[in-house]
Amino acid sequence: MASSASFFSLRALALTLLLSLGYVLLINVDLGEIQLSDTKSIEVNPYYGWYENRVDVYYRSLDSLNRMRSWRDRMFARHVANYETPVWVTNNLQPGDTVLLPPRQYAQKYIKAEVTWTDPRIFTYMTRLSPIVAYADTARRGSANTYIALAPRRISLMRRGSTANIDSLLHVYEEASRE
Amino acid sequence: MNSVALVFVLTLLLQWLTGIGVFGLMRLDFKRSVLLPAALILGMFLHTVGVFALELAQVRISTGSVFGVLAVLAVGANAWWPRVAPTYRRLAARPRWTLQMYDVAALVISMGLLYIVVWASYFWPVTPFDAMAGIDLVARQALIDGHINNQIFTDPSLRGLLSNQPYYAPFAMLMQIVYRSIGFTYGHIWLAVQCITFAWLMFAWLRSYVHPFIASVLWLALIITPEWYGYQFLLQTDMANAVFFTTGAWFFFEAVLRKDVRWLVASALFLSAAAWSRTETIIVIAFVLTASLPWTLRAFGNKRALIATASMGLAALASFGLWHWLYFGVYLPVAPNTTTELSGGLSLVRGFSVASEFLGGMLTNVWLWGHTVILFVVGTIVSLLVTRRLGNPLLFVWISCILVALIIVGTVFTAALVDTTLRRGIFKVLPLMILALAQSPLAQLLGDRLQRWELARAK
Repeated sequence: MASSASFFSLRALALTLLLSLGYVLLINVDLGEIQLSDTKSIEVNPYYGWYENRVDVYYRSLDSLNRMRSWRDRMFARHVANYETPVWVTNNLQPGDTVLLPPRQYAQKYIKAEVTWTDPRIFTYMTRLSPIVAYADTARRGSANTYIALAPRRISLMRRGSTANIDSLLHVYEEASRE
Repeated sequence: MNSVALVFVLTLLLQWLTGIGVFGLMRLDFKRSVLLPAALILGMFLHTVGVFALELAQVRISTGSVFGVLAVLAVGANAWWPRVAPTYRRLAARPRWTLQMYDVAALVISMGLLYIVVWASYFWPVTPFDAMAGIDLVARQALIDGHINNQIFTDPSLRGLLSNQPYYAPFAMLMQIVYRSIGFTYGHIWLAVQCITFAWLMFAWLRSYVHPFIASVLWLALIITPEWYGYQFLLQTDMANAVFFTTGAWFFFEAVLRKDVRWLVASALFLSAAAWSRTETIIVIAFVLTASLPWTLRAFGNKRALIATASMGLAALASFGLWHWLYFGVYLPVAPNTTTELSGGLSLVRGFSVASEFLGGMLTNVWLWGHTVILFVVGTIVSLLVTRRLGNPLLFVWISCILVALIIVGTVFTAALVDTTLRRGIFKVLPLMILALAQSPLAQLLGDRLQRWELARAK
């Protein structure tokens, strides 16, 4: 249904202003919440929070973000430890290593963001197909000979046959997996 | 222009030509503003089918073969030139300026929003867990190994740990292959392309039903729906699915309105694309086609309606079966264990719990859906009270069927959670709600008044 009214007219201008003003108000005015019950409340104007969190947040930081030219930097910016850890592990693998991925709960103790890299699919996605064994894969767990030890702001690989106390680490894994 | 940009433009152009060619073969006569976006969306679907055909034919998947199959599709779709030529002639006709000042304002507002969609889908890597653990994991390895049936499905490190993500309906995965093969590091820029194309399509649809000012308002209401907006740059299967499903729905409604079976063919293509992009959709399609029978019988007569409905259902089933039965059964060495995902049938208690959580909590969540759902409900009630008419009843039938089908899916499949699967299933309903509002007698009434008001001053 096309309008046969003229493009330039006072009424067209009024409608244009109405539309624009409505939009500007929607994205700028925080009207708070209405309490429906003790546990439930709804946003009167959800578009305010949506614009702030999903649109304006990018517009505000567009310049600085666009300076991030490297694809790897962007991966790190988005996935942080979930990208950095698998990359570090694969970069430090030696021929013959088969890494046991720790249980998620163990890694979560040292990482603020929600840990996903302990899932072998995510580990593979962040790096490439590697000789890894998921903690949940009890059948193949015995084939692992390299283990990931985490500490605050530290990561290391412990290899069977070295002086490292693997059994103690595995015990910590086991304890964490029960949490 | 660098090589990535060049191949990107050529890919879009060939997808476009493929879609236009297919519409030309069907000899459907519709507005250029609808033809252009609908053709690109159709071309994207057909391109993924072509890439899948490469896999079935054991041809190595590479930039060359992915582009080559598209070139073949584009040439093939336009090979019967005398038949498709009138469509191109219509496209070349001199355009008419129909935009009003407020349409331009709405377009400017949308550009500000959609710019972020394009930027984010180009700039940011893939972030949703499901995509990293499935769609994109398989796509990336497919380009390394040259086949969709690749080491992801066989490597010992992932054996038995794939869950259901790598087995999702293949459209999004195949698009990731296409766009990664072009040279986009993260691939999912296609999602922004598809969403903007769909926004264009919605803009054209809405303006054909209702006064352009109301159309612009409703159009913006969809674009600023928070969850809808977010998933235009978050890689999942659901947004593409909603685009295909809604386009198929629109062609279906127009077919019934015009009593023209050719429009049903277009609808069948898009609904097949919907079944190709999200697994649960085959159930929704079965529901909507069955529930629409009273209208199709009236529009086409018993025999033609039944044949058309069965053909549409079979087309969607074929598209579903190509991946879920043929490919899993014959090609892939492993398959998802679907039986473990069944909750044990249609339990009334579970069904009631899913329905109440879905309708009472999820659908009314304004943080996710803004006021779109509320606007639809209130608009429909007011329309009924004021005009005592509903508008296009088929729209309401389809909306209801989608909701019921989603509840059944949530009841039967344990993996289909209200918070995730069913939440994103609502994407299929939102554009239909907006269309229902545009076709409501109340919107028509308001549109007529607006038109009179605008013209009265102009005289």
